[in-house]
Amino acid sequence: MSNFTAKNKIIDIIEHDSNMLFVINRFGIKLGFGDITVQEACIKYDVDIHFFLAILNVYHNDKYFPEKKFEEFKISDIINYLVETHQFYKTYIMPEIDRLFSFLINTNNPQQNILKLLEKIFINFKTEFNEHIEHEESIIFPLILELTEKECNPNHIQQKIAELNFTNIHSQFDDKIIDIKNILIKYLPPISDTNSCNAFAIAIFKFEKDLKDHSRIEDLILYPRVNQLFNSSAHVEQ
Amino acid sequence: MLNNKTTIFIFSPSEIIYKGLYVIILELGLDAIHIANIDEFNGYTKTDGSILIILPTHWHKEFGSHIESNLFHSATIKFIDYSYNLTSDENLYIEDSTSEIIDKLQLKISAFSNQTSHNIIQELTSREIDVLKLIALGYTIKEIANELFISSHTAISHRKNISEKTGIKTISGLTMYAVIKEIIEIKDINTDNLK
Repeated sequence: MSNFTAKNKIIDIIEHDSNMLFVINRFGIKLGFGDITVQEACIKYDVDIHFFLAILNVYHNDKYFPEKKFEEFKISDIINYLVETHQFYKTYIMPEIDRLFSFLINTNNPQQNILKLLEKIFINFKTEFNEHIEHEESIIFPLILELTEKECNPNHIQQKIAELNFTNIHSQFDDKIIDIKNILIKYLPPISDTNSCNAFAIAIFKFEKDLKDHSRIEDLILYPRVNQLFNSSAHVEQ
Repeated sequence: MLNNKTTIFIFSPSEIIYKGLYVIILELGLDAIHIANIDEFNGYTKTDGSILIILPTHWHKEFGSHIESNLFHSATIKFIDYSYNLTSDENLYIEDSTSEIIDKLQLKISAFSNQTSHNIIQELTSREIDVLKLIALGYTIKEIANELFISSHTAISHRKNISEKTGIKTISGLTMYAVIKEIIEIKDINTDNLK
């Protein structure tokens, strides 16, 4: 496995790993790529190429995580990417999982009671997760952007920042999805409609991978950066 | 038995050597990451578990101790050198056949599993089943400890072992597991607690 570079064609990246299509879309680069390279696409769509490649490679290669490089990226770019990812969950992944789940439950099979419990866990997960996303988009992200502005007065928002616990907020969501996946794949007694069950499992897999990646960017990059920013601006203030 | 948790890095400035080794490693059912120069390696410092690094002999001499002591903190590392002019039982040689390369890699990789001979028995003990049952019924750790006449510390350690064996961490996940394994019945659980 080699990392993607500026010279790779977008189409070759997608041929290599079709999940990259979703990631590339989040930068406003849509289907109809022709033979455009990463470099050309970034110029055309006004995207920071280093940020684009870092996101692509981190997603593609789960061992890769260049923390030092992320420190150089604009916080507003990171936040834009995260918001696009939220959109993807809200408008695509969640409805897709809902659809596959109800299909699975409505097929007549002997495991219905157990599936209904699993559905209940997923519905509760979804409610919490949506609340979390809303909270980030309406309160946390605007606050972070305010903090990155030069004329911001850190004391002004010190109180608010202190109230927010930035550390590993996301691992609880990851754990819940991993549990749903493990129950489905390792423990659920066989279901007569194998195809529906597989389709559902694949959707959960896709979500788990994306969410893990998303959490790494928030917990290891965004929030440490914010803490750093806050500490340094508070220091200047004294 | 191959330990497929091993992460393989191929350090090689040569694309030909990387691609050649990569094809052979795929035959082993494993994957490998290419590092074309030492600086690229900084993106991988969070890797843990077992790491096998394939690299040219002179890089091993020059960077081996740096890689081992500075780059990884939570990994077990083994090196296998490749050489253009020196054949040995252990190192890869440019004229080795596929099967020779596979044998040498397998020898290194199997040494990892000897070091970390994990407990592969996944069955829960009867005590763990007692604890699991109470978790599923909504008991807190303290309540479980009281109920079973054990310390909270012991109860936490049972809970940890249950999660390790089943791969399930959350309370609602463990409750589902208990229902599926018929350790408790659906009617006994409070479904409002499933989150």
